[in-house]
Amino acid sequence: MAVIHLNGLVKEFPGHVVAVDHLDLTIQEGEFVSLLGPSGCGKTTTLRMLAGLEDPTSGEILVDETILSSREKGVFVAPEKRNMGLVFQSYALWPHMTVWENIAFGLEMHHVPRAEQKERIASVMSMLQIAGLEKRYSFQLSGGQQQRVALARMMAMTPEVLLLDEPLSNLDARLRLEMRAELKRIHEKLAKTTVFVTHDQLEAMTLSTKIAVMKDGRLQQYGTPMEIYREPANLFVAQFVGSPPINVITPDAAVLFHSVPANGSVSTYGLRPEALRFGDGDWTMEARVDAILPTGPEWIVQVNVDSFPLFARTDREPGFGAGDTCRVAADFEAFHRFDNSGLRIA
Amino acid sequence: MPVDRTPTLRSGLARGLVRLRHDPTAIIAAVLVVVLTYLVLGPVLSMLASGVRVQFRDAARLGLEPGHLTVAYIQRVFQSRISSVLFWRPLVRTLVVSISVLVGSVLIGFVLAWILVRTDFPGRKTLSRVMVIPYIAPAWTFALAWLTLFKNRRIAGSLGIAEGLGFSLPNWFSYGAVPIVITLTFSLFPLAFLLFGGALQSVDAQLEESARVVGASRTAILRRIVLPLLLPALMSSGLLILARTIGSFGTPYLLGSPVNYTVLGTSLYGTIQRGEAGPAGVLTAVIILLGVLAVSVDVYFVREARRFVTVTGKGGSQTPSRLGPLVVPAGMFVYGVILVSLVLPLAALVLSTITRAPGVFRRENFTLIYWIGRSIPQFPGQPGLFRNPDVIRAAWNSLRIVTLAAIISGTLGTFIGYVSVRYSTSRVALYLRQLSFMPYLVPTIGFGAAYLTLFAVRRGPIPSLYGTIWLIVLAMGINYLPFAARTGTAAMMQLGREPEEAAMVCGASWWKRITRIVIPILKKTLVTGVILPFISGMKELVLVIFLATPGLELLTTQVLRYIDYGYTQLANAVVVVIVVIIAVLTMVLQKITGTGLTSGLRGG
Ligand SMILES: Nc1ncnc2c1ncn2[C@@H]1O[C@H](COP(=O)(O)OP(=O)(O)OP(=O)(O)O)[C@@H](O)[C@H]1O
Ligand SMILES: [Mg+2]
Repeated sequence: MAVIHLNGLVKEFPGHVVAVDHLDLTIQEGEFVSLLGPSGCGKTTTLRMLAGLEDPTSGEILVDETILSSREKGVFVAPEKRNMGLVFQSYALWPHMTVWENIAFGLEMHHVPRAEQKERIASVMSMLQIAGLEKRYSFQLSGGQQQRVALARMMAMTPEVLLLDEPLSNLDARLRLEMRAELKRIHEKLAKTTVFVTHDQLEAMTLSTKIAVMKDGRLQQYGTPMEIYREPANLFVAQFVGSPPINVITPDAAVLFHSVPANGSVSTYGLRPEALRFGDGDWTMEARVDAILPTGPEWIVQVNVDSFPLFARTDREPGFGAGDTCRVAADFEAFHRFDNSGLRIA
Repeated sequence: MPVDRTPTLRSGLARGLVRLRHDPTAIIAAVLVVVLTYLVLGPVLSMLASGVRVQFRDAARLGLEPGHLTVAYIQRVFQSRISSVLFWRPLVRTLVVSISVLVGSVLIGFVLAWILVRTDFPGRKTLSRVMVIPYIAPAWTFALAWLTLFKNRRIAGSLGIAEGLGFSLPNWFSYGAVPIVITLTFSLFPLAFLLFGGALQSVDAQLEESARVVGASRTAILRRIVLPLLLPALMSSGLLILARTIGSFGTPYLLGSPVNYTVLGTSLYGTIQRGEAGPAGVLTAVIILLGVLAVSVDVYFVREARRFVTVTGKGGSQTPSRLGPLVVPAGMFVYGVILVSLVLPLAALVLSTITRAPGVFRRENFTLIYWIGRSIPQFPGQPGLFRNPDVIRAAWNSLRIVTLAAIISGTLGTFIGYVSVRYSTSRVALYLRQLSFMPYLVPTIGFGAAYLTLFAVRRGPIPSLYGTIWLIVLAMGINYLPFAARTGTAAMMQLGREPEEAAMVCGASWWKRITRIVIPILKKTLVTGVILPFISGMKELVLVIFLATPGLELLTTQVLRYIDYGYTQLANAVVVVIVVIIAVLTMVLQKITGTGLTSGLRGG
């Protein structure tokens, strides 16, 4: 069993930059957790603290009952003793070593006997489908191959926990999809606890068993992808997850705002584009069509109601064109409600 | 792999020790802070302090305790009977010389850069490389070449070639402002050439083309688009040249002293030589201030230049404009510059070492006696260069001292880079970077003198270094730190910390990480970081002028000795050897790194 606990984790850099602010997170054995958030929200810093490359300013990191980092208790376990494998955003392949040497280096550092080294390297390389590249240097590899080598280098060490920092962000769209499937396959096969950093919400949604959404170093919500999508804890999460983004309806869109029944002190409504239908429903509005954007399987339609813009998403070809008027509708329970501090109202 | 999370140390100290063993960057940083504070800040502060503290020798005259605070020296420099000799006249001359050199080098550099970068002048790639050579040779080589060509009867030693040919030269042509400006200009214009060349290359062709599309004439494009874009490079090269001439010493020493043409650098030399530590401190402060001024304005313009670069992006490739019939004047200019800045000086130096009497081109006047002779009749006790024990000893001293200094410089520079990257945002890194840049601003002559006064006696744990090679090694190693630190920091920044951290996660110890990851990746850069200071060290004269004691002569100070004795041919032969060594090393360096030379040149 290995349950990772982050308790009140804080990292402050010189100059009062608080990169991570009282982060509490529990990661169960075998989970695939994504840290999701905009650039600079502290994802990498969190991962680096987990790996032991950064010393938390306060708070603690535990695996089961064992403390890994805690300034208060004066404990710090060195990175190599944590049995965690880290893949860097830039891959950090050593340019002066071949693929084989890159993978072998860590094993050598752990005095793994030659024969076993060979066996392990061959097996990770075949698992990641890079067999045959042993003698190449990193500059002779494509982006996707480099990425696989970085993964292989980490996995040859058979870490208990895999830490991945935006490993797919440098790949083109097709490769990214391929590697996403690959990561999922590997995770299902090895069932290793994985912490995955990304700012791509789609990546987080498709890969994770749980997502931790962060902003300005603070945890916004921690839950399964569906919980995050269906019950965003606050306006930020609602807006960050989903594409096209959720429609945000504020009181200045008076016609829209006041036609939805309120419970409590709602100050903002959110309506997912796919919840906005064409036709009639609990809530129906007269709208003008501004633009129609076909994506292939779907159509994204921008309409405006009383000059307030809304996005709709539909998989049926709309029977009207830009400039036409139409009726838009939604069910009352499709509206997300947020109070004036942005928190979800149940 | 088995889980091993046992070392749960409870005390802060023990935990700290574990961290340090695991990652001794903190120790390295601490050591660097102590070492640099001691070796950089120490000498500079002691030099400056002597300007405001009563010196032992003046205590009685001033009626104050030694070490007491005083403004006497400041008054002496700025407003006393001798302040015009000591400061004001040298200041005016320094400014006159600096500004003339500035204008001259910028003009030559700009025209050359234009011809060699923007036109279809034949052979422009090779010529661009040749243009850098004058800058690599020691600046005072040109002064010696000038004397070899144009020395008149005013001072001892064999006459210049021109006098030998029967011309009679006036003093103002042989010595003083005119030759100082000319020789400095021809040794510094490559700096302007390099900066302009780089700037011209990075001006995006699309900017000009879009101006052409809207109907701008060629002159309008030049005046309204290209020149404004080049302005930062112009300012930057100008200020760098200013900064270098303000503190220059070698050339004004050789060409100015015969007619008492004193500039700030030589005035400072005079005060130090007369043992006037107080005024020397004040003069040093003035030169540092002028340097800081030039450099901070330069930093501003470099930032501006970068702003332009980001706007224009990478810079499209320009189609070189066709010279047509203009190729003739352009060629005269280009080859004229090469002739005057390179061929003529070197030829004069070499020629003088193989002729007995200057300017006489009869067969019996030619000789190899100065190179390989067992004894030279006019120079009692001095065999030819290759048999000369003094020269051989000086060469050996130069070799070992400069090697050690280069290694110290390169190592310190690398570690400063390492700490800068690992502690990128901390004050420690900033402090180290600032300290390592400081020697650039201190006039070299003052820096050398400070080392002499500071370390000639026992200081704390450091025994008296006077008369040992270590005094020179340390002074040199620290003096070249700005360039070494810059090379090291740039290399480390480029590497980033991730390759090392990846090894850390794999369980590699600090030692393994450094020897198996960091050093192998940075091999080339580190070699560059040692060769660059080595080249500078081989041609160093100013720094060591006070530090080289009899028996500890370097090749460069040996040249000065020979000049003092009037052994012109021997002096020039040693210079030729130095230039050859430097040229070979520079070629090696260019082999190792395509760009090392140009990027390293900006500083030194
Ligand atoms: N070594 C450091 N020194 C000072 N500030 C730092 C340091 N590392 C990170 N920060 C700051 O901490 C904050 C969080 O950085 P972090 O790298 O964790 O962001 P991130 O979420 O990984 O962003 P990205 O998606 O861009 O990679 C940022 O504001 C960053 O500027
Ligand atoms: Mg990051």
